[in-house]
Amino acid sequence: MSGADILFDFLLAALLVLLAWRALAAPQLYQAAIFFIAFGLAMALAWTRMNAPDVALAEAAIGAGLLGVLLIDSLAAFTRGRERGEAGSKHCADEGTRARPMPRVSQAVVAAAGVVFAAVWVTAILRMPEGGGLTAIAGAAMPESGVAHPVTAVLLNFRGYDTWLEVGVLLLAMLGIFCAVGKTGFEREQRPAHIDPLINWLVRFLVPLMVLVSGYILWLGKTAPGGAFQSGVILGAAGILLRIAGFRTFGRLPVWAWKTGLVFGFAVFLAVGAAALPAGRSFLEYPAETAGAWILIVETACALSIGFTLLAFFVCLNAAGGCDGPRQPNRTN
Amino acid sequence: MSPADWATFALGAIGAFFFLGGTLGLLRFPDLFSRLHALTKADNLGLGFIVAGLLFQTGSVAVGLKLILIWGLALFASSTACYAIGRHALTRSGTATGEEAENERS
Repeated sequence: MSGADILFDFLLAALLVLLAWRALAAPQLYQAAIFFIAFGLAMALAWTRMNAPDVALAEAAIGAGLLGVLLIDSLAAFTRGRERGEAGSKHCADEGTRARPMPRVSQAVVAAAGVVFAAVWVTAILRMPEGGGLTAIAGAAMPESGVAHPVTAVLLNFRGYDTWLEVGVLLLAMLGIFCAVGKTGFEREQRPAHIDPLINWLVRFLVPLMVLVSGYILWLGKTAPGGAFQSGVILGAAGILLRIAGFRTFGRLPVWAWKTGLVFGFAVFLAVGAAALPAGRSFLEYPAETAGAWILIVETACALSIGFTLLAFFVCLNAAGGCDGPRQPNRTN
Repeated sequence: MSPADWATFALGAIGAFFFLGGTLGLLRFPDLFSRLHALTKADNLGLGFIVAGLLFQTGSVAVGLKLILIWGLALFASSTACYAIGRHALTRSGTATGEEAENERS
């Protein structure tokens, strides 16, 4: 590493700490949300510096992009509830957008948790195995994995369990939102009387491009950083853009279609995994010669479902957060 | 350093200058509209010059085209975002049109 590299890394690390602190200490929750987005982007840059572009892509798309949209949208919902102060939105009106100081007890708990976490982290770094742990074993098994990119090989083949259950966690989160706020968000979607012409033009240009990029990232996962999660998030973001601009998304689909869309990835993953059992292989073990094709099938299904689920998060929470009936995304005219 | 490196260096410095100007404008200008004005210059010209500088370092035409595409997308998104922020500010600031829109809604 040259001197300039070290200087850059130090500046980046300092910026991360500063942004994290500002996000926690900002007096307004809106400022905190903006600092959180900036933190996510700086974090993505940090992952790139650590040669982990896969994580960087996911961090930028989920940590900064999607979470940022959800945070700002929730805050907007609080503000709306407050401005109206109607009977039906009582619990919304009680909530402010001003960050409240944390009670002493909570501060002590957070500080203690921070110390414990730091101790565990330092211990873990000191006990790091020589030669990168399982890297050599994974590298030796690469020819059997069916793909050329090590991260995809680990995520979709060697540690398929983890990825399958992660898709399951997303599905569970979706079910939790359904339980909490219902699926009214889907039914309430309606086409507004007017969509701003410039926004309309942007969406009509960007959304097809985003779907194309999503497919490209999915295909790229075989040989380079990319794959189901990143691709799915871009797909979800395209949907969210449509929704923000005022277009209907789930409202256009029959109920069975979006229900299938939500469980599709989990189900296909499970089916492909179980198909290995009658053939005498273990669960989620692909035959070595066709592993690449199986991985592509599973990844495509997962990317679709991830995109669907993330969009569903937004649509449900967006409609539920308002507390004042269907939201009109277009404020003017 | 080769001439290509010098070109990258010069164009990158010009790009950084526009980013600096945009950031200063964002921090120092008095109201939202002049801040937007400063910020879009950073997005358009700053990023444009940096992309132009990076073009001298790319080995292949495909990578160069991707860089130009990234600049184009950023231009597209930033100008629309600028418009959306400006329009939101206008409708919110209590001007006649804004009041009417608010009244209609409730």
